[in-house]
Amino acid sequence: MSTTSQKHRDFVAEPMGDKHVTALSGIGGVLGKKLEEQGFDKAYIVLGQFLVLRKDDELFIEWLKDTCGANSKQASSCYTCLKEWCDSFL
Amino acid sequence: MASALPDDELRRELKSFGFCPGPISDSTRKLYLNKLKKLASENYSKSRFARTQRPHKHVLSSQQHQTQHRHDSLRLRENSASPSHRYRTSSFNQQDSDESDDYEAYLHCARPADNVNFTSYTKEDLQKRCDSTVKQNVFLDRQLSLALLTCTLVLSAVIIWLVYVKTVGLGQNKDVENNLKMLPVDCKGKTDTYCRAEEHKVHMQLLSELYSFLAKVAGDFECGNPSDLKSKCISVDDAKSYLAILNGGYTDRFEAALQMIVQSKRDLGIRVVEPGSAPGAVRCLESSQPQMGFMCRFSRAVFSVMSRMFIFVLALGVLWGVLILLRYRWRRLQEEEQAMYELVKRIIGEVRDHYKDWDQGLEPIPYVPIPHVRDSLIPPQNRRRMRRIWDRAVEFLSSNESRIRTETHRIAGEDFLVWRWTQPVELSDSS
Repeated sequence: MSTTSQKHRDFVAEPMGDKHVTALSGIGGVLGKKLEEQGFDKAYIVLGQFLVLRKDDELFIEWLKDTCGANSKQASSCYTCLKEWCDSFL
Repeated sequence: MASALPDDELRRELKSFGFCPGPISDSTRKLYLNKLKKLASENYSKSRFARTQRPHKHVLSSQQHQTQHRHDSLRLRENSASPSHRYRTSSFNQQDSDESDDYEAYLHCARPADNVNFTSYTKEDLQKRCDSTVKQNVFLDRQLSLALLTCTLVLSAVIIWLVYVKTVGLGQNKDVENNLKMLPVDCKGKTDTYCRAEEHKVHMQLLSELYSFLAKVAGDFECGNPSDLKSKCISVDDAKSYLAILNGGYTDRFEAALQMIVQSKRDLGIRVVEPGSAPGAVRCLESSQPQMGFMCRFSRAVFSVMSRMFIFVLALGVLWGVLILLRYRWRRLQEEEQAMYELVKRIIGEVRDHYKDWDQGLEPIPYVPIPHVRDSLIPPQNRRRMRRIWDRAVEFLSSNESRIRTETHRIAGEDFLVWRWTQPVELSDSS
């Protein structure tokens, strides 16, 4: 049974607006910097990539791992966070 | 599989494996190529396994068969679908193979709905619903049986006490003997104190003998009459002869003793009955305190007590009978209720399945007639027996189930009350 962190709950609770990419669950300072370098400085851009991959979990996790070097736990946490946000607001 | 594939070919290859890619751009191309490699290796291993069972050419035909099957299922949907479905499929009907491929791919890319969790009438819900009525009944049951039990105990205690009192009371009365001792003395011919005392003593003896004799006779007469007496009243002559047998001296004093009895105001236990108007009646003596054996007394006491308390005992018996009947009835009602809830659960499942079938195009109408549901759930031999339970279940559903709506429709020329599942299937996942 997976438990959600406070970060996850905070992100899923409201529209993401202009939040920084580090607001995503699983993305900390280091990963956030790497994503920024690739051009993904805001959370909604990562959302865009998530949607382009048709919300597919395998592909998104693979992409996140490739792009910023996240491990499985961080990537799946980010995936879950975005998926739940979409379920509520999209 | 080369890594430098043009985008549309990559897309086509992915679709052939049943996977639906999003837009292929710089950021996603590598991912989709990896995916294609993975799918190809999976399929290769599968086909290798299949090849060990069948010859090689059959593998290809099986793939063709797959596509053929897809076409068939498509046609099936066209023929059996509702208006909305028919519209969707007919609009694709005229397209060429590319479009139909797209549609197929669309069919495959659409994520299948997850299985609906049947959580509405879980066991806990049913238990909670049943528990309230059960608790109430059990409480009433317990109260009533306690009350009746105390009544029975009290009544039996009262009866036993009465029997005891009567048994003892029907025994020798000590007062009479005391009274006998207080008789005035009468000395024959002489009037001095000693003589009087002696006379008195003899009279006392006589009377006590007489008393015991009469009491015994009366007791025998009362308790079954073994010596076939006509009454417990002994004629004076018989008494005299009996006393003469006991003691010769009694005969002279007999009359004097009789006078004593008659004159005495106190209760001596012997009664003198004067001859009445009945012919052949003689002056006789009777004991007012019959001396009866223990069993005789006991049985007489029980009989008299029971006859007096008869009404109470009867009432108590009736109440016990009523309580037993009530208990039986409550148990029956409870069982029926359980059966009803079970049936309600099955009905809901059936109606929802019917709706899902209609959604997938296997059924022509979204609602199902109530009699049809009944006939599909209850086997013919049970239908008459379960009629009451079925009616209650229908009533319960119409008043307590919000996801099923009861309507009237004409089906095949006959009017039916139907049930329609009104909750959209996708939403029911999150319930």
